[in-house]
Amino acid sequence: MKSLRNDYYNPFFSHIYVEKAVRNHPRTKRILQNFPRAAVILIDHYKDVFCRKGQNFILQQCSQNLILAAKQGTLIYPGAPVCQDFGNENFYYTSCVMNCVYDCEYCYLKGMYPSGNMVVFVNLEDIFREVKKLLEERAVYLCISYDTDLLAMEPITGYVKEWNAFAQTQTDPAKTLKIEIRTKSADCLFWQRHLPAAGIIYAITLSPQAVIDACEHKTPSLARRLASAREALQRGFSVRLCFDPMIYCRDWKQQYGEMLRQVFAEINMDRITDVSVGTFRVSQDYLKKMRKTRPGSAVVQFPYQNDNGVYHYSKELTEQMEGFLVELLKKKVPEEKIFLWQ
Amino acid sequence: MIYIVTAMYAEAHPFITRFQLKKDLSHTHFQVFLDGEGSLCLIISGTGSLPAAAAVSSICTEYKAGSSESADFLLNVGVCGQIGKESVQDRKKACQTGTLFLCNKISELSTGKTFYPDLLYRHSFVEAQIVTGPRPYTQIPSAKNNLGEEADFYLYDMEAAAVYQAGSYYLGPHQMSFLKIVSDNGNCQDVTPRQIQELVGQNMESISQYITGLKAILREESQSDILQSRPAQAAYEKLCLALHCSSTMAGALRQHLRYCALSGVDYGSVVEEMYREGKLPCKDKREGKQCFEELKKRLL
Ligand code: SF4
Repeated sequence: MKSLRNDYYNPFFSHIYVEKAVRNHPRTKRILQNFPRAAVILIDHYKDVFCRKGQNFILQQCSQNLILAAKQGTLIYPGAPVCQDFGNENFYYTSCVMNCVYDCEYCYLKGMYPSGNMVVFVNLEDIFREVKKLLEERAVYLCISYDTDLLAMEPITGYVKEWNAFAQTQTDPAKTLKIEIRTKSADCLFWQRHLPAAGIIYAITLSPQAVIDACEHKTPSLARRLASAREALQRGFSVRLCFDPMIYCRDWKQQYGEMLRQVFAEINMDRITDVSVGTFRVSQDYLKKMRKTRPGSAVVQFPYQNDNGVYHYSKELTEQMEGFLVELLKKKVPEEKIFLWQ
Repeated sequence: MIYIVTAMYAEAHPFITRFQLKKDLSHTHFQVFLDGEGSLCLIISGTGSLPAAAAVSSICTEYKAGSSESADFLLNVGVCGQIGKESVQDRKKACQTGTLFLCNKISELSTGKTFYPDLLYRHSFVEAQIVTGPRPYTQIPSAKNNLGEEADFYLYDMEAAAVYQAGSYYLGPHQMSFLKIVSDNGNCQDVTPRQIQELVGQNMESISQYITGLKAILREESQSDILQSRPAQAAYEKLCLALHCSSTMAGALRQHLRYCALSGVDYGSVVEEMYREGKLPCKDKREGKQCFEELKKRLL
């Protein structure tokens, strides 16, 4: 039966909410140029739209709208314990964009944010200033694509390009800036149009095609992600391969084994910066909300175990899944380049 | 259920005839009309914020609006003024009598609060901002030029903000729409009930289409727990008894069965097999716990 959904929903970014204070900001103007037919609605504060009570994240994602705002208050946060620091001290993250154009069923953003709409903060200059301040004191490892997929938004925001340019200006060898940009996008054009900047690592998340089909909606296929990763490596960009989150399915061994065969066939593993491996885990508060909003999602409804407020697969299953992948990876990647999340 | 809220009978009349709504005589405080299928409910609130909020609250409470995710929708339909900015001299644009607007922003004059109903669904209407005031526009001289500063014009009514706020106690912003038809440019005292009825009637075709679309999408969007079907519920309850489940264990069992149902694992066969092997039913709680551990292993 044909679904009514696509016929009934307004197209993506049909409405753009703009904070009055940033309506004349150059980035606002530049972003709006991409959507000449969008209805622009002026607002006082992004929270007036983003934080309304009773929103339905899932439905809003079917007709996602954009909010352009200025980020105020804390701009840089210390890294969360459930996130990998890859052995880096001074681990921070920042959110210049909130929410994502992709729709992974297991994404914690669905439990964290009250809205499925996207917020783009246009005052990048303030975030850059804050990073510079931190760099005066210490080296910084900064993740800039945790609460979104920044590279997937590149055609609209151009933010990765701006971070790239910013990183190039940070040349003091004593106070290094390392930036991680996590992505599932497969935008080869980006690699073709830009030059690599020292210190920026593109962390490309890979999943078996069966997992992509089942729960990573709107994301590029495994083949396209691999082609993109290969192109990035060939052009000298620093690439981390992320097998995180690993998602359980009955034939997970076969699926993840087959995926790695494809990875090894496509990617020169000697060139990658490192790899990360981690099974799915999520905070209990987020999962509670995710289960309510997505009653029909197997990955969300899996009977996870709860330890100290974090839901995860059983210890046995976690060890089996991660161990299996790590053993296979070890054949091609030196052990010190393989990072397990715990 | 789609709840339609109008302020006046003249605004409701075209709906009553179009959808053959019948008056529900059990209501004494407000006039309420229902269709035969239980999918439409219209309430006439009276003019102004307080009556509008009371009416919304009354029907939403009575019919338990919002208790099932996405299956309900609140539609506020009525006439409004169209206020042009002083600088906009284009008279034609300044008052488009009979034009139907979908409101994308609702400001409340008395509190300065602003509300944003979601605009998820495709529609054929023009969108505009509406300002809700406590009195007819002409009686609020200070309103002139202070509102809708970003638009060439804005709409003015006396209910929308109240309907939104009262509706929010029951429904989310994705479950409310505000359709307003221009009847005047602020001089509402010149508009007769007959004219109002005609203006709404002229727009009934497109409003009906919108309602039909809403009905279809609400049907599609209503989500239910996969274990809610009678046989699935009965099987779950039987297994709970057979395992001597405590309430925590019952919750865990339910989660396992839900996952299996969603991921295509035939848990029924696994359970049957355990019955055949004599492992079920268990004789006490202790045995039940062990058996549940084994069941979990077999399922995943
Ligand atoms: S790509 Fe990442 S941020 Fe985007 S939905 Fe998927 S998990 Fe979430």
